[in-house]
Amino acid sequence: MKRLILSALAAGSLLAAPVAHLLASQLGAKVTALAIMKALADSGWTIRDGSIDELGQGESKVYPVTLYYGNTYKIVAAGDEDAADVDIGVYYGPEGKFLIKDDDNSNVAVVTVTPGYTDQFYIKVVMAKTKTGGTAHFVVQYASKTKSK
Amino acid sequence: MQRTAPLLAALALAAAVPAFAANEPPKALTPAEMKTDNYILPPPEEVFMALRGVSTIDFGKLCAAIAKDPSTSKSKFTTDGAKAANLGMRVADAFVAVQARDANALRRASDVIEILSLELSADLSLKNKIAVANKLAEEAKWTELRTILESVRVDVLDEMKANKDKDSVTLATVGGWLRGLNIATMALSETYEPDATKLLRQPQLVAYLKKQLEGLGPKSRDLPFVKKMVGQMDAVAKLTDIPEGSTMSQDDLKKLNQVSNELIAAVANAA
Repeated sequence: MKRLILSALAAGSLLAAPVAHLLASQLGAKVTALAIMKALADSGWTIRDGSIDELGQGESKVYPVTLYYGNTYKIVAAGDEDAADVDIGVYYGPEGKFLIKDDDNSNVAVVTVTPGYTDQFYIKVVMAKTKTGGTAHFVVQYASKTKSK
Repeated sequence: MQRTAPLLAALALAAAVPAFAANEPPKALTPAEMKTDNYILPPPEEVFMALRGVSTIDFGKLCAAIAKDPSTSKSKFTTDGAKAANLGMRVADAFVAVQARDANALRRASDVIEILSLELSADLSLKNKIAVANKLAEEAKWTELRTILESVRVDVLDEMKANKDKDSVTLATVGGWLRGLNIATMALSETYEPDATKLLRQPQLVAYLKKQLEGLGPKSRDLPFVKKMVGQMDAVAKLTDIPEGSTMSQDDLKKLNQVSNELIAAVANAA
């Protein structure tokens, strides 16, 4: 039993550094997203649950989402402290046609979408550049509000 | 070996090229990019918010219709599948109560939510959150209440995921979506406005949810209400497959409302 505990402690100390970095990195992305979402919530937007993920430099990931006619959406991708440039592209329909993008050189990307009818949209998050050349975490999340009639 | 170096260099360059090249019209997604399971599913509240954007909806009337149906207060179910699907439906009802700003309607829904969520997740912090939600309703703090209610919904789903109860996650999600569709068709049938029916267009979401239902474990898949849902999903997909820019006919809206009525009755009357 003692040996097991000692082994676990040894393994724990070996893992501590990478795990701490992983958590810090995820936390960094969450903090950035939270700041944006708080500002949106303060202006009357309803915040939805997001997804946290990791990408290497130059990689991308696609998230399908149904956006309803009658609402306006702010779609946000927020990178961690290692993310230098995060971009978003929004596509729609069965052919995945391009709609809008935010590809400026910042680690945060925000686009606004007001659907003309309910449809399946695709949020493509691109980790265009990282500070280390390696991977970085990001949060992809959206906020919504009833569109003005 | 000599040929490997240029190939590696080319690969390195390709990796560094941003996906959105400057000054070029962005291309459509590739079929491979679209074939992904990272779906971000819309919570039931989204459809109620959207209803306000497309028509003038009397949410008080919808709350009254919900209150008249005794099955909406039912909290005794023998299977986890029935508990999860009904939990999803009652969460949707709670969001209707928020739209109507009706504290009594919220209390009715939250009483069932509390029982079912504790049976499914055993997370006692949910009890406190639900108590806070009811208090906020009594104090008419509707904006804060929406946040708490959404966090209850997400917490229950997270707890089910943590318990590796994938079937309950699917059924709670489908239950919430189905109730949202049912309320939306009920509301839009009151005064038929063709343009407002563009809100109901969602064949791809229906196809995705059908796939999730088909992926349930045998115990859940064999539940009569699940079989009924799977059997009707193609009909729902067809009715909601409104061509781009078109609207749903009054007849199809009526049919969609009928199908959703039958399905929610099957879920609510499950053993």
